[in-house]
Amino acid sequence: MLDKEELREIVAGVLDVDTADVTDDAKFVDDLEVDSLMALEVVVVLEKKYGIKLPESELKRIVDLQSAYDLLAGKMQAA
Amino acid sequence: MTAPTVTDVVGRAVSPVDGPVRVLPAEPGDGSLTMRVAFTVAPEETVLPGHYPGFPIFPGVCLVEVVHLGALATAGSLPAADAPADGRLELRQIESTRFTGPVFPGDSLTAVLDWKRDESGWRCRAKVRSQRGDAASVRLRFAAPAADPDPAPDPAPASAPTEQPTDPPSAVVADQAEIRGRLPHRFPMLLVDRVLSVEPERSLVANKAVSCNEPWYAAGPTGHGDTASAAAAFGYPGTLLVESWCQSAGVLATWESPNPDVLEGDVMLFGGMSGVEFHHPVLPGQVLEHRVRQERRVGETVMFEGESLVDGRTVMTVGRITMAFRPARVLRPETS
Repeated sequence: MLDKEELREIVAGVLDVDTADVTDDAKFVDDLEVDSLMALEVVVVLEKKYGIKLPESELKRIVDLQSAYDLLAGKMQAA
Repeated sequence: MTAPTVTDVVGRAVSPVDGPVRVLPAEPGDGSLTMRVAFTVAPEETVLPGHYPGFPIFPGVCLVEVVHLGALATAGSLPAADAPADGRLELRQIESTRFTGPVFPGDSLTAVLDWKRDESGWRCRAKVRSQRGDAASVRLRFAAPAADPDPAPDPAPASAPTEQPTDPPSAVVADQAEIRGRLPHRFPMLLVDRVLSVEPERSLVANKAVSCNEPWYAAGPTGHGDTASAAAAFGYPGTLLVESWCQSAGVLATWESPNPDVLEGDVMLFGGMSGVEFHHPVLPGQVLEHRVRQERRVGETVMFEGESLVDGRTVMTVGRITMAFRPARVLRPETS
């Protein structure tokens, strides 16, 4: 099943920030200074890691760790 | 207060960057693993006439090169416990790089380098700033130079990390004339010679022949210099391998709608890269085969992965590069 702490580490690695800074509701864009390119990179890394594909229309729903977790968990359950 | 001392360090002999990278004195509060370097982008820099004609921008890979040279210049000043045995290191990986602002001729750059030694070698994280603000963040990985790097291909070529045919396609789908109609880059920064195959939105294979007549070799040493081998002295700069690979990716990204003009329409910007590993040196006379695969396109952003080979042997793997298309005007320095 989807491990939130593992997800947190992956996101922190891509964004090059401390894992502790990636709290569940720290907003990628406003709190972590993520630009649109980095946000997309996070998505691509997660897709590859978890073997899923997120449609373009759903990408903007990922704004923080919690929303990424919810979206991924939903996809993995559906798969 | 004493006047700051500044050390001039001339870069590695074979490099896309001409000007000296100066090592700056530590500032109050800097730890022993923090180094500071400065670089001024002279309008005479070799790369600028070709990047781009009529609109010079200091290439992103040259920012990485400035950090690379700064790292090599400061490695010997690390505390004894963290220093490489003879003060020398080799670039093994560009772990990640993000380009956050354009750099133009005349800009003054400073980079703060944070070194860390771990079990697999040395990591150097750097923030590069111009007087205009952030320009790039760069993470490099170094290792002690290999005792005797072997530039010759293995008798049995190692297989590429991905399953791809090892026989290169022989047809040419885009020659030099065609490439010049597709990319804005020009001499000495047009680093794609021909395109061998293309599958739009999916993949591309291109060649670039490395020659000692490229300007980076103009000031090269006459022998091995103080380096361990010819490969160390004359190896093609890793940052230019990346540039050449990225230009191949650029041809793929714009296959259906090429724009060789950086002054109009949408221009291609190098957003960043991660996981770029250098496996073997590349020497003059060798022909690079760049294999580019498009990973994802979302809106105006495209991501690629792939590798470069010489005689069937992988010399560089590219984990990911990100390219963004933006209106040409976003590149203009703000007029005041």
